[in-house]
Amino acid sequence: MKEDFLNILERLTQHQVDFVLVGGLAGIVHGCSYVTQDIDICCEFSVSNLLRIQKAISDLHPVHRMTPKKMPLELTEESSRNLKNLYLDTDIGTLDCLGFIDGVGDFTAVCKSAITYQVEDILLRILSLDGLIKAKQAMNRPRDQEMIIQLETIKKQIETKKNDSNP
Amino acid sequence: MVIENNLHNCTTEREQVDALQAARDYGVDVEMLLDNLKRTPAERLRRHQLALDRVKKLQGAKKV
Repeated sequence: MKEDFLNILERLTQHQVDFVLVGGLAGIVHGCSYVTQDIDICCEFSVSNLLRIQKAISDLHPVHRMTPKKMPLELTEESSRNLKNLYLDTDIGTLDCLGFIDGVGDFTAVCKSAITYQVEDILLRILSLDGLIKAKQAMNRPRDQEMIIQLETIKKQIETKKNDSNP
Repeated sequence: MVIENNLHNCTTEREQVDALQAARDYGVDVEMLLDNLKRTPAERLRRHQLALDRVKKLQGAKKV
């Protein structure tokens, strides 16, 4: 089965997972032109939300991608209690679930810096341009540098268009 | 007020040109970015999916 990011996002939305799209794919939605190979979401790490994530992707054979033996995702109420991040592989793509975004903060802070986009039939909350820039500046890995440049260029372009339409 | 607005716009336009040039100097394909901004978020995601499919195909290529 090939990667299908929109399918994963639709599943999360249909199962009422409380999440905000962050990372490279959020940059794509804003207009960036690179290719990313995973989905990063910031989500509430409550037991109920984590169990909803599990249910949303249960038929996609999710595994913990950071464990040597790729242990299957088998969350219980008990095991969900102390999780802070989840790094998953599924049949149709990699899904990283994060409880905290460097440069922005926890899920509550990320929600405050999120905007809602309609993508086909679903409403997606996506980390804002400013939020993404802060997050990437905080990470500051070599691969973040081009993303920062692209995001800042997009931001300037949008600001100029706004100024042009409101002289 | 009009003068202030004009001055503001001049600065913004100059900043815009500088930002685009800085991005080009860094190696970013600015025209591709500007084309993306004309698309809807859904179109951007669909085009990214197509690009990712091609990347995966190329990653699976075998030497013959």
